[in-house]
Amino acid sequence: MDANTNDLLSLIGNSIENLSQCIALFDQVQPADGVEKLSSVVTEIEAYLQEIDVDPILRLASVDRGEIEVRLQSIETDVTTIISDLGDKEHENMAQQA
Amino acid sequence: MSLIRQKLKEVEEAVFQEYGRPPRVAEIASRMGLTEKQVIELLRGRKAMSYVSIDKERRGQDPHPPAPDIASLYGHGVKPPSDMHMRIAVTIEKLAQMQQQVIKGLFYQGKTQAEIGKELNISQRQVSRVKVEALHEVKGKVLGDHNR
Repeated sequence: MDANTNDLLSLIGNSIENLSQCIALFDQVQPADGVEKLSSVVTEIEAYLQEIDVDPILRLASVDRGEIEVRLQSIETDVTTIISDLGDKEHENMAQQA
Repeated sequence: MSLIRQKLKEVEEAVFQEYGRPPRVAEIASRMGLTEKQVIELLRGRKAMSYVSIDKERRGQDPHPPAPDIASLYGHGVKPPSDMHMRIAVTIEKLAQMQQQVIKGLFYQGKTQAEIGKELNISQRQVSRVKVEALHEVKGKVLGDHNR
């Protein structure tokens, strides 16, 4: 695991930053860029979960790995559901306009 | 009825997580023990039929179409619904709680850096560097880069 990119605290920090930027982008009516930020959160969580075994931060903090996996998967589900719902809403808008 | 809708939502989320695309009517029916007709009624009741019909159209050309490119759907300057902001904010809160838990753990650790290095087959210096860099990263994200 690269210490600069994919320990748990960096993952959480990056995710919070991306989600905050996503809200700002939605406010600026740049939804496509906002959705990109949401997608990158999912991608980074996926990448982290692939390498969770070798994250020293988890052991240093004496945090239960299984619990972290469940919580991250829950967050991943939240974000993918938001992306999915955004798609549904857009499909509805397109259908109404058609 | 709300229990059925909750179950429907769970099934949709599970399929999306598993396959990276919205579920098909047959999949929902199978997982919920309902007929396809019942599922369609359920979706209609939730006013969620639009993506099913569009997905059906896409499946007409390809039985296993890739997940829709959501980013391209939002390429024409339409502001997303405001409830999305709230849901994203809730997700940020969940992450912040996890962050606090991990940082607390780092200051009340049960093992030494040398023990952890041995478990992971890396040096104690590397373990120490990961910890310092992670805390530095968090500090930068929370307080801004000028405080690093």
